[in-house]
Amino acid sequence: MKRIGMLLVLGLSACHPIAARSAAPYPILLGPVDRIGGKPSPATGVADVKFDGETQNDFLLCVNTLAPTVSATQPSGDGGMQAHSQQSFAKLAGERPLASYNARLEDISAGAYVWFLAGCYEHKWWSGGDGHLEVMR
Amino acid sequence: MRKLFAVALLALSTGCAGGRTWITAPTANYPVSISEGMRGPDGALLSAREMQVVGHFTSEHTGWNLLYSSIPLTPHKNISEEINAQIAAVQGDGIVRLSTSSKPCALDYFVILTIIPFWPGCADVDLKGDIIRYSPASPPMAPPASAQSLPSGTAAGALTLKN
Repeated sequence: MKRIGMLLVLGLSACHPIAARSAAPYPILLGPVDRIGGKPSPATGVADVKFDGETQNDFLLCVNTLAPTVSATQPSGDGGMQAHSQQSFAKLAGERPLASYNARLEDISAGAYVWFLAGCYEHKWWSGGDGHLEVMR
Repeated sequence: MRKLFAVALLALSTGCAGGRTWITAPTANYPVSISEGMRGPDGALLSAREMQVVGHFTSEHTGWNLLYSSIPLTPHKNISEEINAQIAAVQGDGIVRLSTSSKPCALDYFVILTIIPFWPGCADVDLKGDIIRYSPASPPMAPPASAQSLPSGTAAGALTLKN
């Protein structure tokens, strides 16, 4: 009974959605406007340094043996996009002032799925994005 | 009999369902950042003091897929109009700290039905962010002309009092 309770608690905690949020001091833009009061204009992509990143949560439960196994991952929620964009900035370090670059996302992907098979149950949910650095106009 | 029931239950507990979507904002009229960072009209990075939070952006969507989540029915979701409307409503200038969260939706948990290839799978995607208004830091007060030409050693306060 205790074990079932523990599994339920773990399962419910895994249902909590992840939130990918970045604490980076530079903008990681979505959309065509790169500053307050700016006009929409197509991304330049001149720097051509691409980045991607994903933050995902995973909950796996298998009860097909005498000893049920459970695993869950709970990332911090900072988001992989920030880490990847920082790596991209690091690649450019020394070439020109990094303040003259913007990080821009093409889109943000988000999703979740659930599967059941032979006594195992997994659900996974994630968000992430692909982007590039571009020289500020 | 009990064993047979358990095996049957395991065999029936098979399936897969889910969804994903790609959020875009190609016609947003305001800057949107998923980080804390934002640039001002001159392109300089803004300090937290220059960004006044005047509202919260929220947007909820469901991504739909078929065939064990392999065929996307809603591959792209353009949130430009929501961005433009919600920022305009509070007379804001942009969005910072846009965060994305996702979770499986209820249809994904219909265990036996999810074995059917055309059972729709889905994912609920929520977006949240802070709508900010640019409030430029006031420039440093220029000293009065009289104070600029004060002879060295003169107390500016004393001069003001005399006036």
